[in-house]
Amino acid sequence: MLLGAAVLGLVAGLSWPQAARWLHGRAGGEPASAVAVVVSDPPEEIEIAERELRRARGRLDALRVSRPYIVVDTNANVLYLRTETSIILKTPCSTGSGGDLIDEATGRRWSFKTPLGMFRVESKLVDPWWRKPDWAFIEDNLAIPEDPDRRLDPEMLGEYALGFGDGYYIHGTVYERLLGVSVTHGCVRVGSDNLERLYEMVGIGTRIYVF
Amino acid sequence: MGSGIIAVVCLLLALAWTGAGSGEDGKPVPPPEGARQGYRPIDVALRAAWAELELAKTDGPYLVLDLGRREVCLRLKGALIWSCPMRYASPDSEVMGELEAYLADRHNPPVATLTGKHLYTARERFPDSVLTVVARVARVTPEQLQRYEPGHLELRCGRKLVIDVRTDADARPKSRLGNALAAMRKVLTAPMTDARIAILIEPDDALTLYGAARRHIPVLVCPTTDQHH
Repeated sequence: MLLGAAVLGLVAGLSWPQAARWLHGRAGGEPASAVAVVVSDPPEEIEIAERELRRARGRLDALRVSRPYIVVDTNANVLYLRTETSIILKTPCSTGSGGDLIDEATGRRWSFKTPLGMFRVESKLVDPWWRKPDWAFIEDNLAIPEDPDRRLDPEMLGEYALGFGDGYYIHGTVYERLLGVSVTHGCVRVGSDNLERLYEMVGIGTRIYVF
Repeated sequence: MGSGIIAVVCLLLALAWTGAGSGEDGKPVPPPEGARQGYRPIDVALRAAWAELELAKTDGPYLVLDLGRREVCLRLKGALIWSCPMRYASPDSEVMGELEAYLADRHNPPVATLTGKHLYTARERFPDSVLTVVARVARVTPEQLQRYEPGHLELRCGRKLVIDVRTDADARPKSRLGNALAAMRKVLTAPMTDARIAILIEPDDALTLYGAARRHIPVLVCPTTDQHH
């Protein structure tokens, strides 16, 4: 295995640990999955098995979300408002670039990724102003202002914003031509027309799934 | 010289695969004495339902191949977050037969785990010239911004299940060396792979599937809904 990895590394220009990982993974020798799913053996009697199946399917149906929810596809940069069975709204968006910024003066580091997982709409804002964080100045090699009012930008976030925690929002943008490309610092940008529709159709507590 | 190196690599790969164990799902366990050889259709359906209930308790998404609806789905905590219709590249009866045998096999757990993926061919979504400019503004590399619409994508769950995903995108090979190695692996591991299916989906959907199919994502194959008698 190690010799194979070394040769593979020479051929493909990888370090041998990288080649070993590649080889090991592709040979099906990955360690046990991060999610271990263990289920019992089904009952022998058909009637009991059928009853258990109806019960399990009932429990699965109860997990389906009954109200509309938001889904953000960071791969294709598309935002949906949908239900289990239909799509109400589908619109291009922009999500986090995945880039990193390091402040050389202080060593602070920011990673511009849109967080993945399940969230909820925590706030709804009209005409939101952007209070620029430190990274917005550091990124442009500007001095961080002492006066907090100098951090405020009334245009950047568009006409509506939906907050989903930790400073992340679904909001508008002045860069509508870049919708569909991952260029943000983590937030989700949507075009103005569909953002207004979205704002009107969701409420506090609406689920947001980001993947 | 080049062909000699490739031959050595093939031999070493073959040795590595044969020595790499049984895959991510542990050693095969023989059925207890007196037990039925395989699962009945209702057992398969029940195990899949129980498995999904367990997956819904986790924090991450899971892939579902819904054979009844002919859909590839992504679910998170039980909610449907993405889906696309799929067609089979082979005759239905062949595919269903292979999957039914896979699901009925007591050696196969209800949930497989994605161990790797390979993009054979793809079409770039954005022109390089555009991304060069945008990347400079966004302070990232053009590669980080690029998205690929697969023409041919392979998703592997160890040696349990391999899903060949094909689209009609006008695609080019991503890496000739990578494709050659992947093709060799396919030939060498074919006899040891429990089930291999080929599906056809739209290029846009394949783009999402390629991105969402991260290593270790659980993969659940749901039988057709009438498979419980």
